[in-house]
Amino acid sequence: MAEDEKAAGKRPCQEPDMAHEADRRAPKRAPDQDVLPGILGKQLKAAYGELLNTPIPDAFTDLIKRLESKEPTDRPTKSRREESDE
Amino acid sequence: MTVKAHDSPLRDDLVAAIPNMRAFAISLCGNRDRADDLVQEALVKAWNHLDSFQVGTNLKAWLFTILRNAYFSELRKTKREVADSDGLMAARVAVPAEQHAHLDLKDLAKALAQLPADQREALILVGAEGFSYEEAASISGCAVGTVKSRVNRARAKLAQLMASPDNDVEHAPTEEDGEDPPRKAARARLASSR
Repeated sequence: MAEDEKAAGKRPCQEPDMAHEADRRAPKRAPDQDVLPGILGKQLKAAYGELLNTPIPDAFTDLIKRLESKEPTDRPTKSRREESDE
Repeated sequence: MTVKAHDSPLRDDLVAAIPNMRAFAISLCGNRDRADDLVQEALVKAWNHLDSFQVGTNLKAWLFTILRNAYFSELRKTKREVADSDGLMAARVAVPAEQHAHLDLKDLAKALAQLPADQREALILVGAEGFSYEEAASISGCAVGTVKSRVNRARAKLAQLMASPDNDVEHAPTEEDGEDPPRKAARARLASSR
């Protein structure tokens, strides 16, 4: 609607509306190169990817097991204390 | 609808998100032990409030919200704005240093650690974890425009830090949570215009 208005008279010449075009074509996800261009972005990704691939310490699987044995959603939350007591 | 963790695929999704939560936490606070404490704290909170999670929405974003809130509330308590860089990526990244001789990953970790926490968060969420600006805004509890400007400032500052040969010339001041002081911005402009 606002666009029709623009097209109708507010703009004297018919330059392609780059901003609008980019906006319409842009995926929801921000393209990497827009966020951090070049080698810096690659390295950030590489470093983060490396962290993602690090095996999870046993403490986490243990924690999940403990949580699973506790019917959590039916109880008031006193998680931290319980957790450190165990 | 009440969700029970046991008989729900949510449990598996939650477990599947742990590596991301750890990567985010380590990048955010720069210390593996602190990061693991934060992630465990967040997992317990999430587990106990699974019934408040809206099925069909983004579980990872929800978990990240809990995690970052834990981090930032700890940060407020300790007034510890600048992250440690020792645990951050540096030691364990497998990329051989020779391949990137001019840009060492340790420098990246160091530079990241010098960013104000909110900028570091925005950069990691969007630039590394791949959330959209909208998702990052909802995770951080701020406007989309704020995320964008944080990312921009983070990027500018990172480039500036990485450009200086010895990248601790600019120690991020502890109270630099919001805007860059004008002096600093001016210096950045100067640096980038060379």
